Amino acid sequence: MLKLIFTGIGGQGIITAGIILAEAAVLEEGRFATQSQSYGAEARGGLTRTDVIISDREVLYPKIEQAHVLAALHQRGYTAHTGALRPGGILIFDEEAVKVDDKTDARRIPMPILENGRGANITLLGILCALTAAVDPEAVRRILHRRYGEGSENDEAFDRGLSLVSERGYSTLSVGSRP
Amino acid sequence: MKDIRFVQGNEACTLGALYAGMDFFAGYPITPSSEIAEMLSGELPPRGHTFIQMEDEIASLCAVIGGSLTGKKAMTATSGPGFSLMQEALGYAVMTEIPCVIVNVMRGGPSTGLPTQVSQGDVNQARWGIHGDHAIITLTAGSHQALFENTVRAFNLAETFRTPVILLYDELIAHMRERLEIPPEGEIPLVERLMTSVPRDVDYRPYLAREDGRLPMSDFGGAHRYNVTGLYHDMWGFPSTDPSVVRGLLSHLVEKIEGREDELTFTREYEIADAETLLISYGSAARTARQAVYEARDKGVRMGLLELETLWPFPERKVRDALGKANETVVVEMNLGQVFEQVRRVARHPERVFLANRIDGRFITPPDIRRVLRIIAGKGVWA
Amino acid sequence: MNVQDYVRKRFLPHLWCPGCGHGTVLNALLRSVDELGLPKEDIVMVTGIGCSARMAGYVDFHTMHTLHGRALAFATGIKMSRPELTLIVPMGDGDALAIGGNHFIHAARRNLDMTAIIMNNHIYGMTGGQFSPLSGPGTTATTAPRGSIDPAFDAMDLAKAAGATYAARTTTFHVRELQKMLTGAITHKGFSVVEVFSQCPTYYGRKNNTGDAPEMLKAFRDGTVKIGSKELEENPELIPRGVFVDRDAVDYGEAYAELCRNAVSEAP
Repeated sequence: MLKLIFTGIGGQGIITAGIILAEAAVLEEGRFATQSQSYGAEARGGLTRTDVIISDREVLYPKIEQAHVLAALHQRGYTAHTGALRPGGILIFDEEAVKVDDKTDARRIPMPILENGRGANITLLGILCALTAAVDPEAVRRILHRRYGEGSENDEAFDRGLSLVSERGYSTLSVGSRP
Repeated sequence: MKDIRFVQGNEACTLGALYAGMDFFAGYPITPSSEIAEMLSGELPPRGHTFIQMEDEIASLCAVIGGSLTGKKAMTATSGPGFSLMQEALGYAVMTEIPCVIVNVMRGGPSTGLPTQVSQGDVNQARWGIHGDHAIITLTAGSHQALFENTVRAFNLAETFRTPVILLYDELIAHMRERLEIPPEGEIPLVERLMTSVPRDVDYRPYLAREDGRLPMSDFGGAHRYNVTGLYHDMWGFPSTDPSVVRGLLSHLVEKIEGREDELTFTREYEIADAETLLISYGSAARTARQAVYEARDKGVRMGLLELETLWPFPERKVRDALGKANETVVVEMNLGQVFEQVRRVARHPERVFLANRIDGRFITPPDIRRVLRIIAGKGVWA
Repeated sequence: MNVQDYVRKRFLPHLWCPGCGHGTVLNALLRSVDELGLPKEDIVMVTGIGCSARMAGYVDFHTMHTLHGRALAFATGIKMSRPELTLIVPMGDGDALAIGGNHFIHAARRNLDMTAIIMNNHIYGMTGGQFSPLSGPGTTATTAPRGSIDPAFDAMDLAKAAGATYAARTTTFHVRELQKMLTGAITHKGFSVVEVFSQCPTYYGRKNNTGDAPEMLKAFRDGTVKIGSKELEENPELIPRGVFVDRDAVDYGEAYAELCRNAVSEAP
């Protein structure tokens, strides 16, 4: 079972990224997943968070208290939700937008995510796939093609995420727990 | 090939309604139910079916009743504040025995309350929101698969018993996404409207029930011209204050539902056979309860769950049977104990029924349940 | 056909008071239906609650006696479901424009093809003579013992502003005019409103010392005048009668049917 939280502000595509990842697990890999979200009343610009749980068994409790992975694209999201990352968990964050507290007990993965503009959320998915093997990158790619067609700028954004992991010298980490 | 989707609960409900043959929707936007109207505004026109956005929830249910009376499978969807506005027309549908489905996606109340957060506070409103004695069917669901199936079931029961059916689920189910497998056409049987066999120009009595309590219907605009009224009425549908007519109609309206608990009450059982501790829950709270059951079983604790999918009429026999086996029972819900009160009412030992609840707009957690169990066991809770 | 053939004799006698104007409206409506040759099985009458609403019981159409103020909302559902039916929706003044005001303006805005009749007796009859939003300042009523201070709606102004494509006003004194307007409203494609001043001698009459029903009818004769007439120009305090709006606009039912056709053709 793998529990991931994505957080940022409205308009960054955080929730879409969560849906695509979970959808790839369910539709392409035949596994189980839930995706849920919380957001303020603002149509844009409010704090957003999405919880994704991927498992080989039916997921019952869909909220996350102790995430294996927290991805933060905005300082406010990091501050609000860093407490939901389990000790020693993986913290992926935009290296420009988020300043991580020295006391945070996490494996830190700073990345240039937001420089990918409108595709930043998809770049984040590439990073996640390469770094955690949460879902097979080809499964995510098929979902991207189904949603946006082949050869869209999202394909590039996704590849950029995949290659960032090796460029920065990271190898695939083993994360998750028994269901 | 299997038709597997990854969808929100509101989409699961919408897909269930379309599977059931729903061909008339009238509604008014309200969080957290709006996705249903949004999806249907795209889906219904190409099928030549009706979608109409009305001026408020009052008008929405009135239009739905009008649509149903003329032969459509009709539905509306709303949340607490809109459901409050619908009570008047809901009573009319009960009294005139016009089948329809009313979806209420619960939010925190009273009043505008917590529009985007989870609550299960409308259980009693579903039962007693309208004035006057009556009976009502209310279904709920704790997963998208169950929601799909119970949406189809809601239409089937509405047609079978000629009554409005309330489908009550909560914001967590509405907005969460998970796997949904759409059954092939025909796999879930559909109940179509029972039509009268009385020929044209022969005296048709729209409110004369058959021996089995069912009322064969004639669509408005069809062969038979008759009257429909929210007043007490005779078998032709004309107003009457005759005491025997009044008593007869009210007892028919109540008996056709209250007298059929076995046909109308649906539950799911998990690890119940040898359970010493029984949880009773429904809707999204039942997910937490089931999680707590599995976590307890991993530690060797004999715990089980009775999940309710019919809330009204209250599944008295099934609850009483399940209670009989357990040492203690904990009702898990997100309100001040609306189902808890019902469980205590039917329990032979109400002092052994407890409540684990949450009323702050946050989703109830397994530790919330465990805390109550510690108190029951006399172990206390660390502050 | 005889007008009697449109009446459910089983349901008579009616409950309207002696001298009530509502029977005159019913009579004119049945004559209009007869004149148009509309088959009974093609007509749906939807009413709300009040004296006016009891009309549904008396006529041999498909009849639906609904909730106070909500008749147009029910009728909207029926018309959207079965566009080929003719919808006639008689309402009282409080029914149509107090509790039902929101449904009224939105039905007018949509321009769904149906005929709304406002049987305006300027009072709530069934509940015992309380003032309505059409009573006007100075009206004495059981809830206005010192005279009402509430300004009144002008139903024609309201209908026109909300988008009704046919709007006419007359009284129960002017029975031929009434029948002509009902025929005009029923044949008009779109949302039609006919406001009929109808006398309530029991409550409005007694509370406001208007005299009995014939006196009240005379007051309708003398207090109203044709729109566009010289007489109205000279006496602007008189209440205008006539067809205020009669225009062509897209009917909601047709617009929806077109939306459906386009949705089919754009599907892959």
